[in-house]
Amino acid sequence: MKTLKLFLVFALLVNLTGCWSKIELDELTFIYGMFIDAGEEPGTVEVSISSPLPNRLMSGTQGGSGAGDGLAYSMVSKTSTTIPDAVILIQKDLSRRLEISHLKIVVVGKEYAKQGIGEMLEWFKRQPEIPLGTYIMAAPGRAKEIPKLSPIFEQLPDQVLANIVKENIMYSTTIRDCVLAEASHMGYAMNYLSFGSKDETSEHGKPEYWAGVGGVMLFQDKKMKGILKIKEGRSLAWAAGHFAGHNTLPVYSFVWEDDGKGAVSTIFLSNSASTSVKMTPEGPVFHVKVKGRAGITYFEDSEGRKADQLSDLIITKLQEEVVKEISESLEHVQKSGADVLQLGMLMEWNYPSEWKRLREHWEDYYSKEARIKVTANFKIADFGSEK
Amino acid sequence: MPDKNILELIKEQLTDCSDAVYQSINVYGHSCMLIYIPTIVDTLSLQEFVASPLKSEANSEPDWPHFMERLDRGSAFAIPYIKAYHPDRAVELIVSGNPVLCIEGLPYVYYFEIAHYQKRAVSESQNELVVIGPQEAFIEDVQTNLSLLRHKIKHADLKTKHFAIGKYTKTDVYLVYIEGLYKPEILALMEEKLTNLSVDGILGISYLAEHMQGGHFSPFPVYQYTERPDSVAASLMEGRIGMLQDGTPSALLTPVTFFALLQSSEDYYQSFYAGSWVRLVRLFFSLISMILPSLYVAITTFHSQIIPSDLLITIAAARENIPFSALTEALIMELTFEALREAGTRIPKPVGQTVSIIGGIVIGQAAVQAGIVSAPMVIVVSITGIASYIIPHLELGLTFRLLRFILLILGGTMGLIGVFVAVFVIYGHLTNLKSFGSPYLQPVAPFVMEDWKDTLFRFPSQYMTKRSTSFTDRKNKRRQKS
Amino acid sequence: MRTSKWQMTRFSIVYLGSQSTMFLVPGLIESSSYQGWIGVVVGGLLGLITLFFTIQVGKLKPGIGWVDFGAEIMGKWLHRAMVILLLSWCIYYASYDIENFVLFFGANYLRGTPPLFIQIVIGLVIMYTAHLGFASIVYMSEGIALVFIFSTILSVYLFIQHADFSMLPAFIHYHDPHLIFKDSITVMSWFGEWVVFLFVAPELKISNKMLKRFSAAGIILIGIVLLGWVMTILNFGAYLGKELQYPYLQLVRSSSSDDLLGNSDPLLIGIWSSSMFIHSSFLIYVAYKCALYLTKQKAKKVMIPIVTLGSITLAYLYSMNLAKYNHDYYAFNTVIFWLIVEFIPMYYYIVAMIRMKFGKQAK
Repeated sequence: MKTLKLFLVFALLVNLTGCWSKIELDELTFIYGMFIDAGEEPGTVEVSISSPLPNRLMSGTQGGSGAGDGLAYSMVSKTSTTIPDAVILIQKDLSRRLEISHLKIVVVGKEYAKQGIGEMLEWFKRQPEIPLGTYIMAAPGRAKEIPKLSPIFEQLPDQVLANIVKENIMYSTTIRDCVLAEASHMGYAMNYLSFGSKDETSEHGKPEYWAGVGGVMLFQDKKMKGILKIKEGRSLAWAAGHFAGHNTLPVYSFVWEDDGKGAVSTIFLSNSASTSVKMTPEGPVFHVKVKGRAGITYFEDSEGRKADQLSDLIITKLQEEVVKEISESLEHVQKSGADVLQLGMLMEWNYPSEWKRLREHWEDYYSKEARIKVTANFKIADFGSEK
Repeated sequence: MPDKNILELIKEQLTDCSDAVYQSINVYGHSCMLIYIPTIVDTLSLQEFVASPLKSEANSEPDWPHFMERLDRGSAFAIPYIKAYHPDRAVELIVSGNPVLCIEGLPYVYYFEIAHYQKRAVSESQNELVVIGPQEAFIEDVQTNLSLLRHKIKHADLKTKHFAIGKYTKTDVYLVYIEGLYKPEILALMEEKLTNLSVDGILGISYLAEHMQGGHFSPFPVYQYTERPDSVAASLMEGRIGMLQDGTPSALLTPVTFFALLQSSEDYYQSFYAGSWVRLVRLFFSLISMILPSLYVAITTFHSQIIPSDLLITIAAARENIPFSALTEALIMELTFEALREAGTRIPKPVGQTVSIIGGIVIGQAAVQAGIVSAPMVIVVSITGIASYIIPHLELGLTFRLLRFILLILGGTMGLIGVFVAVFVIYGHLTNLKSFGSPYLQPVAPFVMEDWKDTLFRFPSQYMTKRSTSFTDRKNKRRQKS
Repeated sequence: MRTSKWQMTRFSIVYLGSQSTMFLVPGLIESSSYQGWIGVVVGGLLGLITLFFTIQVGKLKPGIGWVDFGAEIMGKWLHRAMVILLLSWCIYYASYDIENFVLFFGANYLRGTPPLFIQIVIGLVIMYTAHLGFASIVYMSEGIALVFIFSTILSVYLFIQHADFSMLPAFIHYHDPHLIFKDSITVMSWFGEWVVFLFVAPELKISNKMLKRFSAAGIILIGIVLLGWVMTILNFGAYLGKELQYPYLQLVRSSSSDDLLGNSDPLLIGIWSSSMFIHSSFLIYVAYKCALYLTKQKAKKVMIPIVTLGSITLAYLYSMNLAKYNHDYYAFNTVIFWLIVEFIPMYYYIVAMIRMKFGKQAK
C-alpha cells in the first residue's frame, strides 16, 4: 500500500513539473570566450561574446578551418554600465539562451585593466555556473579585436587562445588565481597578448591576423600595475613557481670568457621554484629558489673542449645568468608595486606578529624595502646526442 | 463377481478414451485383461516382460494356484509390479502410463511402472551459453533431469522430495537439496506452500514460483531459473534448494541474491583473471543498462555543464533539427527497440534475418538521416540494448528494462535529481527485499567480508574455502581444506 | 537483523559525515581561518563525551528502547518533556537537512525550479526510507559507506593538484585561545549527535563494544573533516574560502578545465546526497518513535508522513526567508540548543546514578 501511495504522489508530481530548468541543447548558445573592454564613454563597459555555431563546425570538420561557408563562431558586442547589464543586452539580441558554464577564456582590454577589473571578478565569483578554471589574459589594445585572428590548427579563436595559455610558455592564470589573490589583497599576473597582422601568408586576399603571448601584465588591487616584456616575463614566470602554472621550457643562452671563448644554449626540461621567508633583525628577507634540470642544445668552445669537461663551469655560469635575469625582473615587478609572488601571504603564514605590523602599509613596504634574494640550483640532465 | 466389477468400473471411467487398449490373455484357463494406453507405455518392455511371459505361462502346465502364489510373492514377472486396490487409483495409473493387469477372481489389480513419454534428446543449452564447460541442458522430462543431476552429485545426501501437483495435470515436482547444507526454514516454507496448493494444473515452473511468492510484489526476481544441471549442482552445494518440474526444462533455485543473478557459470570455468574482469564488466554494464538513457536525457536537458565542450558541440549539432525534445526522442527510440526485441523473439526462424536487417537499417540509418532522432541518441539506446543482454539471467534483465523507463521519465522531467532519487529508492527497496529470508543485497548490504571473494571478483578457487552465509548456516562453513 | 563487526562504524560514519563534511568546513574557515584544525580535533574529541553518556544510558537496560524505560529514571512528565524536546529537535534538524540540500542543489543545478518542489520530492524519499525501518537503513548505509570512502579518496586526488602547501606553517602559528574555545564548542555540537543512537535499541544491544565501534567512527570522521578542511584552505586560502558559499563545488569545478573528471561535480553531489538521505531518514525514524511513544502507539501508519510534513513545512518557511536561514544556521544560539539536546543522555545518567546511590543508601 505504501508503495502504491508513493507511486501515485510521484505520478502527480511529475505532472506538476513545469520542467522549470529544462532546456534542450539546441535552444542554448554556449559562450566560449568573453572579451571585456572599457566602453567609449567613461563608466561604461563593453562586453563581447564569442560562441561556436555547431552546425558550421560540424560541416567544417572535414574541411579544416571554418573559413569555407562562413565563420564557425559568432561575435556579439554590447555596451552598458555594468557587465550583467551588458550581458542581458546581448541576450535580448539572441534567439537562444546564453549558457556560460563552458566558458574557456576571458580577455581583458588594456584600458579596462587600467581602470580596474574588480567588478568583473566579483561577477565571476558570484555566478555559480562560471567555471573558475577559465583562463584569463590581457590584450594590448581592445579585447574585441583579438578574435579576428585566424585559427589554423583549431577551428575557433577561443580554442587557439585557450591552447596558447595552456601551453604555459609564460603564465597560465585562471580566474581562480585572480580571485584568490584579490581576496587576500595580493597581486597576480596574467599573460599579455601580442596581436598583429601578418602579410606574408594571407588566404583569399584578406588580411590575416595572429595573436601570441607578448609579455606579462601585473595586477594589484584590481588594477593593472605594470607590463613586463617577454624575457622578463619568462623569468618572472619561472620565479613565480606554481602561481604561473607549470612553466615550460625556459631557454637560456649565454657566452663566457675565461681561458677561451665559448657559447652555450641550454633548455630547461624541468624547472621549479619555491619562495620562503626568513626573519632577520632588519626585517624579513624573502628567498626565491629556482631549480632546474637543463639539457644542452648548443655548445661551442674556441679551445675545442667538450661539453662534459666544462659542465661545472656551465652550471655556475648558468646559475649566475639566471639569478641575474630573475633578480632584474623581480626588481621591475617590485617597483610596480604588484606583489605577484604573494610574499605578503608568506609573512602572514610564518610571522603573524610581524605581519600585523606591516599589513597596513604592505604595498609601500613591498615596493620600496622588501629584500628578495634569488638563488639557483641547477643540474645538467643531458648533453643531447652529441658529446 | 468382484474382479469383474473392478474391470467394469475401470472400463466405465475410460469410456470414449479410444486410445486405451484392452488386451485379453488367457492364463491357465483364467482370463486376464491387460489395460494400457500404448502411446504412453513402453510397449516393447510390456510385450517382452509381461505379455510374452504370460502367454508362455499359458502354454505350460495348468498350475493356477502356483501361479497365484508366485504372483503374490512378487516373482511372477521380471519387472517389479505393485498391487492397486481401488478402481479410481487403477484408472489414474492407466492414464499415467502404467499398464494394469486385471486377473479374474482377484479384487485388486497389478500395475507395472513402465511409462514412456515422448521426449527430446538432451541438447545444448540455448539460453545460458558458455564457451568452456558443460553444454548439456535440462529437458522437459523430469526423470532425465534428475538423472543429469545425479550424474553430477553422487552422494546419498542429495535428497529429492516428490510432490504431485495439479488436479488435472498431476505434475511431478521434486524438491532437491543436500542434507546438512540447506536452511531448514526455507525447505519447510516451500513444502508447506506446495502441499497447500490446489490448482487445476501447472504447466510452467513459474506458476509455482508465483504461488510461492505470496503477496510480495517486487519487480526483482526472488528466484533464479536455470537450464543447466551444473548450475543447479553448484547451487545445491552452496546450500540452496532447487525445484524440478516435469514438463519444464528449467529448474528453480532459491534463495537468491542480486549478485548471484549477475553470475554466470562461465566465470568459474575460465581463469580467475578472466572471470573477475568479465564480472566487473558485467556489473558495470548492467548498471548502464538501467541508467544510461536517463542520465543522457537528464544531462543534455538540465545539466549541460557536465559535458566536455567538444562532445557538446557534436551533440548540439546533431540535435539541431530534431523536432522532438530529448525525452520524447528517447522514449520513441526505446519503445521501438522494445518492439524490435519482442518481435525478434516471436518471429519464425525463416523471417528472422529479414527483420534484423530491416530493424538495423530502417531504424538506425534512415531515422537519423530523416531527422527524426539524433545519432547520439541511437548510440545511447543501442549501447543500452546490448548492455541489457549482458545480464546472464533473463528475469533480472527484464526488471532492468522496466525500471529503465521509469528512470527515463524521472530523469527527463526532474533532471539529475530525479535519477538520484530513483536510484536511491530502488536501492532502498533492494536492501529491504528478502528472498526467502536471505537479504537480497548481501554481501554489500549487510557487509559480509568473506563473501566478497566471489562477488565483484572471483578469487582463485583455492582461496574460496568457505560457503556463503547467504545460503547456508554459519556452522556449515568449510567447503574445502585450504 | 544480521550484524557484522564494523557495521555500526560504517553506519555512523555515513550518518554523522553527511552534514559535517559538507557544511562544517565553510563556516569554520569563516570564523577561524588558519586555526580551524585545532577546533576540529578538540571539538571532535569532546563530541565523544556525549557518546560516552549515550552508551552508559543505553547500557542501563540493553534490550529496551530508551523511550520506554526513560520514564523509570526521570519520572513520567519530565521524560515526556525530554521526548518532546528530542522530537522537535529531530524535525527541526531534518528541515535543516532538506533546506540545505535544496539550496545546495537548487542554486547550483536547478536554478529555475521552485524550492517547494524539490522539498516535496526529498520529503517523499525520506518518508519512504524511514518507513523501511532501522535494519534497512543500516544495510543501506553499508553500501553507501563504501562509495563515500571511495569518493573521498577520489576527491583528495582532485584537490591536491592546486593545493598550496607553503601555507602549512600558518597552521602552527595561529592559536587564539578564545577562538579555540568557541570553535571547539561549535564543532562539538556537530560531532556530538550521538543521542539518536539511543534508538538502535531494541534491534541491537547497546554495550561497551558499541562504544568502541562508535568512537572509531568518531575518530575517522575527525580525520575526514580535517582532510576536507585542509584541502579547502590549501586550495582557496583563508580569505577566498571565507567568501565562497560552497567551496567543495568550486574545488571540483576548478580542478581541471575541461575533462570529465573536472565536470563530475554532480556525481559527487549525488553520492553525498545519498548520505544526506540516510541522515534525514534516521532522524525522522527517531522522531517517529518518539511520537509513537507520546501517542501511545496509535496512528502508526500516518505518523511518518506527519512528521516528515512538519520538516517540509519548516524547510519551506525557511526558503521563503533565506537571510534568516543563513543567520540561524551559523548562529551560536543554534549551537547551544543543539548541545542542550545532545546532552540529554547525560541528564539521565546523572539522575540514574543519583537514584542508585539513594537506593543503596535506603537499603
